[in-house]
Amino acid sequence: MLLNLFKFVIRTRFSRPFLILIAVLIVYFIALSELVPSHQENLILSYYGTAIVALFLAMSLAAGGVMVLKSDRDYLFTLPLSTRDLSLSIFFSQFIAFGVTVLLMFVYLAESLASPLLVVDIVALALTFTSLGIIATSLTTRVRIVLSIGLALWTLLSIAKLPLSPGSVFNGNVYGGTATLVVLSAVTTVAAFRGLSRIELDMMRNLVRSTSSEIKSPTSFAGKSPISAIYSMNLSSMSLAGRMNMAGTSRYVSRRVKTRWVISATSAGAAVYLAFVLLRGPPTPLVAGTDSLPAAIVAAILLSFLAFFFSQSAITNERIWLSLTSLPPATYFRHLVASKLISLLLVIAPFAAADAVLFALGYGEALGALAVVTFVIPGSFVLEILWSAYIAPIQVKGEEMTMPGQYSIRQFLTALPMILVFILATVATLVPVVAVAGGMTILVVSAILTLNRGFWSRVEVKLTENGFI
Amino acid sequence: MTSQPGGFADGVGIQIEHVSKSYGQVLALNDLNLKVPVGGRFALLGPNGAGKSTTLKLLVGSLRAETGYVKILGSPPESKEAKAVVGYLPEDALPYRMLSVRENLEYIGALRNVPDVKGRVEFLLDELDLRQYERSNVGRLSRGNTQKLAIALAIVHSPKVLLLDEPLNYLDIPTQERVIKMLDKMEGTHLVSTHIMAIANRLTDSVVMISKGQVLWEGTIDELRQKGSHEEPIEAVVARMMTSAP
Repeated sequence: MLLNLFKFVIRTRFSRPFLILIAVLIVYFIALSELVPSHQENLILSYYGTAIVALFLAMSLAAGGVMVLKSDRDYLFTLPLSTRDLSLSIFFSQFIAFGVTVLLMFVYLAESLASPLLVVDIVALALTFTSLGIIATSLTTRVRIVLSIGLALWTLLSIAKLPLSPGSVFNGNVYGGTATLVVLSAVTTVAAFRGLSRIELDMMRNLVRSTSSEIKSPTSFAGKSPISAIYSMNLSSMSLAGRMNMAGTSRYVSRRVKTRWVISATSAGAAVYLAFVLLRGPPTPLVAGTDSLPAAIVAAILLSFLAFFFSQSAITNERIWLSLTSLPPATYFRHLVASKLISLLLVIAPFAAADAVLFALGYGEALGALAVVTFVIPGSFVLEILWSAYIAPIQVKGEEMTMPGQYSIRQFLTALPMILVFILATVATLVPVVAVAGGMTILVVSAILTLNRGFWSRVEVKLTENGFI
Repeated sequence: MTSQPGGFADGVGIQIEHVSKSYGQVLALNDLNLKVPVGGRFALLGPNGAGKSTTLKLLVGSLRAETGYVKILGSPPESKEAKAVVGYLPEDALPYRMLSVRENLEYIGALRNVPDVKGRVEFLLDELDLRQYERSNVGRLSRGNTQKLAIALAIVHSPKVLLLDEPLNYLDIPTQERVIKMLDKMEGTHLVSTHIMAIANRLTDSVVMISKGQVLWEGTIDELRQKGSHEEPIEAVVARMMTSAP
């Protein structure tokens, strides 16, 4: 019975080609990690590893959710099945989805961990990502945000040599770090199973909790021209959306936040970043012959991911029965993309300013980070919007608590440009000219596509055929 | 057709000529022909999968015909001229869920360049009994109130051609009556896609029955009623015609 339930739950959540692809990737990456020698001296990998784990832990909790379909609530949960079997099968499918996230980082983790306990670390990380996503369902937004920030800071403190942190395995404290990850995964897994046994109740509670919400400071569009209405809509507030893990989708979440609040938050972050670099003293030699600023690298990576989450909301919350029946698709989408880009630039400007200040103060290495923030991130942001609109558009329709659709290769492909951006940002923080050249290339390609009427016309048809309303 | 006020070509509000459209291997519309005169009130009836929603999506330009052409008051549906005069309500319509009711109406009013957006929004809030929800986050509205807002959004610019897909879904009976009266008062060409004959009867006076992407029968509701025996309900007549289609 349990085996049948496992099969049913997995087949309803993942397409068959996707499962085959995952199996192939697992074999490929394991083989690759055996062939590639370890680089224990490469500090850049340590900083990247810490930043990525901090981000993924925070995102799993902040934007997490359970891989539950609407039809589960309507049918599966009403069947006389054992709660234990149901919890196990949902946890397992969730583990596959989150395992993909870890898989994408696998070679990189293998490189940067250089630990005899590599397999333990990876399994513990995968279990923790999986469990945090489930735990998130029962928490209020405020609690999730506070805990996410706490988890990220705890992980980042390993750079300052905190021995017991989820990031310590990357920073020279192999045993302390592994012990922390094992304890963290054990605690979160137990909590996740307890959560799964009352998942239906928690989902209903979440739904009820948010039913009374009113827009506290609404935006007025009266008297505005069509184009200024689009800019007003996208500059006054931002919507954050994302797949709950980087490798694809199991649930979309979206939130509306006033742009000034986001700018305040990034300004505070940029101030902390600036103070941190100035207090830590001169740049560190990370790669032989090259000085670099680890904090600048971490900041650039985190901003790349932030831009990715902004890009995902651009199309997913669109209502084409209203917008595209009012204006031609090329006109509407061009201004939509431009307004979203401006709001992103406003949000990341404090970091660009901080990098410029550091450069002016004699930190020549900040130039790479400045070039990434100014060129690579805006370019990749636009490209991600176009890519996800064309390849695998998903519309958030209403049931935020459940998966919007099956997890397929197309969803998986939406994350591909992020990998390229990640590689580009990695190189570009060290070699500014790469950032300028790479960023400009992406911007030119994005601009050509954005200005192409035929492209948006095809996007309109694709959105309609993908069930967009 | 006779010439109609406003100078529109041939007095035809909606024109579909030899249109075919498929989704992969599935043929949704097969050489479909349909004309609705300016001011006409037509119901689009058909079984599930007949091609009703596809027809409406072609009329608003969201999909492109593979053969043939579509015109709205003489213009292609993707043209600015057609967009300016068409109002569209899809089935299970969803407004912007992160905006309030008022923000939705003002935003679409602005996109459509509606003169005196504020006045129009005030009118629609009262007309559709949405005043108490004007600041509410649309993502949290009941399905009935969401449908009322969707109807308001479809008519915010007082369209000359109105395309409605199951407009009375989710509405309670008093609201259905309110909407029927409101639509009845509106001028223009209406094409209403529905499964429910009673709705067709209340909102329109003519019927186009389609099946397998082709027109099966066309005529007034009175003519349709005459196709059955005296005691036979009109639904039974429609069912018989649909099931006996080749």
